[in-house]
Amino acid sequence: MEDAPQRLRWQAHLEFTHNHDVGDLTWDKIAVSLPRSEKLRSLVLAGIPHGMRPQLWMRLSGALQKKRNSELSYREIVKNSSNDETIAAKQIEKDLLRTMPSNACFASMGSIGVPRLRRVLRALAWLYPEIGYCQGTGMVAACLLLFLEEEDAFWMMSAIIEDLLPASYFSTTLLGVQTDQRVLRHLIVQYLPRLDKLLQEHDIELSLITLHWFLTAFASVVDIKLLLRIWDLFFYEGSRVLFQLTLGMLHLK
Amino acid sequence: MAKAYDHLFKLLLIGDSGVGKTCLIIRFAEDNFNNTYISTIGIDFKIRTVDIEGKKIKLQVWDTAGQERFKTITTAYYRGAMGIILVYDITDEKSFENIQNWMKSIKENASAGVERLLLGNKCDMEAKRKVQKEQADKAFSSLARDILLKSGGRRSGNGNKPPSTDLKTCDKKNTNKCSLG
Repeated sequence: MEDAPQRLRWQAHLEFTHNHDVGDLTWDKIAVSLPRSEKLRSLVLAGIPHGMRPQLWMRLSGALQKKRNSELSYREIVKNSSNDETIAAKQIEKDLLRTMPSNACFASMGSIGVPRLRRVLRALAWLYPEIGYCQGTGMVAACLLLFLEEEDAFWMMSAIIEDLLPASYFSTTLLGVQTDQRVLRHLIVQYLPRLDKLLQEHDIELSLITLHWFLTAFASVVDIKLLLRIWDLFFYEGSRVLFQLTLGMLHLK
Repeated sequence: MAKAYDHLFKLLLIGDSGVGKTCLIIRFAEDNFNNTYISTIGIDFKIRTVDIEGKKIKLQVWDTAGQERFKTITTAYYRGAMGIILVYDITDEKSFENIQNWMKSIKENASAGVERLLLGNKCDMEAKRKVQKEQADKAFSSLARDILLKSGGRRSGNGNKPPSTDLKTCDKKNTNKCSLG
């Protein structure tokens, strides 16, 4: 998974954008957000070395900035959202073991990831009352928790909701994700006319296939190895990547 | 080329989140049961071909997400369904109360005269039962066409009728209806 030359390229880039050259480069010396450039984009496209993902995802997505700028700390948000009786809390409870049941971290109530997932999802429901808890977000949060500290996973979710995806994506109307499905339908007419004909012929509603691709940013779709590469791009470029990948995957089929 | 089936029936499962819709479908289509289900996001379907009275019946069973917000997406599939199975969890009173809301959704979105089946799931958890059979009978007795069957999600052969029996009852009625047309 770790490609040594690629790791060196990233190191060189980070050192180059970092002005001081005294001592060893450590993460706390690297800026909260990385200036966007063609060079950075090509590095992201080639893949982020796995060991650097937690730190770079936080910087590429803007999550670290959120974490630093937030008036409320994650700990305070967790404290505020610890009520068991809310509708969201009850729904979350039902889904905790139905999110990633085959992974040891989320397989039973005693598994290490379960209380973390519960706290992250409740915190999000509290911070975004117009969303509450939306099925599908658990899948994204659980995948993030496999690689990031709980607090960082929370801020990544926050960046996904606020910045990387269009508004109202997970809200009670699911307006955002439904709009994206319409947009995708138009793109298919334009770029994949044969598929468009097929969908029309068999009267297939596109949401059957792609709704959860978008709603979970592919977390419920592809193997984790592939997902990591997809997310490298998604955290840098946002929603557009989901369309590009979807069109690509539909084209392959 | 001979057709692989004589009739195609589209069935739809609806009901609150966590009542066991996916479990029923997998039990029915793949004849297995395990405890590791993932909550359904949006909509999904499974296919099984069954033999009823010498006819090959291809069943397309649609599974839906139970969470309220997904209704805007799942209701689009009501119209094409010939049978709708309303599922509740006998250990969860709320899921039974909500059957009324699901009935309303059917009324608003499905074709008139669609077959309906009310199904109380998780009968293996008798000790935790909150919804009595009489309650369900009473509340839905006016819907003469509805059949009330209990299904043990976990195992067949423990006194509960396995889901496949339930679905058969429902299909039969459809078969009869279709053969008239």
